[in-house]
Amino acid sequence: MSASIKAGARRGDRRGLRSALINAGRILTELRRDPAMLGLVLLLPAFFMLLTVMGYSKEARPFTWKIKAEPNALEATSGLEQKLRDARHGDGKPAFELRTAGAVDIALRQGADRSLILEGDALSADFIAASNKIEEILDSLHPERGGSSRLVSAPLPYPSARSDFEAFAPGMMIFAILMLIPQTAFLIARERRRRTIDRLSATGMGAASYLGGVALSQAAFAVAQGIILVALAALFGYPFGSAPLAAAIRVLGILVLLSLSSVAQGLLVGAFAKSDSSAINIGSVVAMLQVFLSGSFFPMPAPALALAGHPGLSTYAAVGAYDAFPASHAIKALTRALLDGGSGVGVPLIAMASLAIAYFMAAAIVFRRKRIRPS
Amino acid sequence: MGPSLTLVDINKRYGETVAVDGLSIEIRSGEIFGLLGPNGAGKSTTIGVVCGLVAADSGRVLLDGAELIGNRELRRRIGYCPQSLVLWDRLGCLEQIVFIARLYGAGRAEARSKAEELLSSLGLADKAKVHARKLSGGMKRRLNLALALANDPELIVLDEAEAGLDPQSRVLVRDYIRVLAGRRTVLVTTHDMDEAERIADRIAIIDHGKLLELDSPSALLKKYGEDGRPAPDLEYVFLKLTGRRLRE
Repeated sequence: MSASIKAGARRGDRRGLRSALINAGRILTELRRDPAMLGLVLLLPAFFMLLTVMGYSKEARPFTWKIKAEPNALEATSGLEQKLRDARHGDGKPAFELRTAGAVDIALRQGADRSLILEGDALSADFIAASNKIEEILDSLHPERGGSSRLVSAPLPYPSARSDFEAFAPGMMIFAILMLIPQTAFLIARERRRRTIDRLSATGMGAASYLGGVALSQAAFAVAQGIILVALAALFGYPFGSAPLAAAIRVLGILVLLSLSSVAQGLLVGAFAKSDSSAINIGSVVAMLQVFLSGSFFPMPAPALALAGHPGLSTYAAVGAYDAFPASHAIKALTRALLDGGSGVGVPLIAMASLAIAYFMAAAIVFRRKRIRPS
Repeated sequence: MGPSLTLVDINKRYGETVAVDGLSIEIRSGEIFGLLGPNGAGKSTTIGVVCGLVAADSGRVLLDGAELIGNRELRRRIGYCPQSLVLWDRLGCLEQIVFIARLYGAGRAEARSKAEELLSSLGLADKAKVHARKLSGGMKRRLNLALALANDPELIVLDEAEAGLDPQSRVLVRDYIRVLAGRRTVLVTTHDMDEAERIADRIAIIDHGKLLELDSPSALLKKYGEDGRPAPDLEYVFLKLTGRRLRE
């Protein structure tokens, strides 16, 4: 490639970025002056969080932990199986449900040196609480034993929760951000209907610059939405762990990343939608599918992406159909970020970023293919 | 001087419908060129091809001899005023022009200066901060035109730019276009035959995507006159060429 062509390409890149920024500024100015849209963008997240705190109990409730214990582990410690079956929470509910298959909170097996090994997600409050309970039982059976069981960290499909509010608040955060899908699709459809997209095309603006401008403007609003959601969650007493500021910042980062992938999905929907109403309808369907099928509120039928399986939790190794939803990874990342320390958020964050790029590229291709201007 | 614009054998179909059928036109440097035709004649499609908004099935478009199709840099030398009002409702008049000028590469100060000049020229100086949705129909039309001129284009393409203007506004716009001509080339489509006769140096009449006639208004009147007298007006010529059948 000659120096002049390279210089031309650089100029083109700079111009594309400049156009995207100018376009983003224009969209933000318009949204800022549109009370209905502004209300939708900024008040809806607040309403969702308010709904969560009003609708769901903040009372802590004990769980019945699902445990898978290998026969040799139970045989090695006489009376352990019965003790597990008899163990009760303070309210009389069973502490454990013994399972031989399926998803579990904790697994118990015997190591090569005949030691007992507790397996599960070391970041999960459920696992930690359940393992403490098992420690109590083991201590009661063998007061003479020294040390404690070995903890092995492995990802589990179910996040822990101490109250319904704590269980559902992350899902509500995701729900609020997913509303960017119909909103972005509507913005695109409206520009097509008003033909302002033709005006932009006549300036030589390309699809990537146009879509980039829309994405940047929506991301700016998403930051505001994220701040509102996190601030309200904190105000309503959501426990952000031992380092609340760091956890809140991590949550904000995850929500912004989710917003980018939501905007990218909105761009794709907008490219197909033939009218404002179809953009909102299709966008809402895409958003609602993710609300219900991402694990934000209900356990997923198939687990989200995991790069490493675990012998005791073999179902987790597969890549499920729901991995195509950025929200599936967002709920995992949020759960990890809120539990403690934020370790283990890398894989879901990478998955979300990859999906955002993939959806953005797909939108740009559809824009060009369908000859929607700018092209 | 404004650039020359050459259309060579342009063809465009929408499914079974032929919109433009082998159209070749040469628009001279610095002239005001009128493109006339009944509804569905192919005017807007032709303009769309010139402005890069419609992909031609075949043919070439040359700006000062350089291929325009697919060339974004050359396209930036064109100012396009669409037939419909294409404005951003919640932006002020000044903001809209500054926005478009900046997309064409102008700096903030330069864009603002250009916007103020255009608003003044088109009688919108006192509406600089008024949002487009609050303007009257005629003001919106003038702002629509101003946006086409924000990049100081060398080729100005006006698609029915004077439709919906009151007589005062029409005179203002017409005079402004005349001022622009010479230094720029202007391509105008219109249904208003009187307007075309007044403003255009040359006129092309097209129908069913084909060129029927191309000449100066006076030459056309002379050519289609009867009994040694020129035709009474351009509408007479137009109807003689395109017929009286109503179009869709």
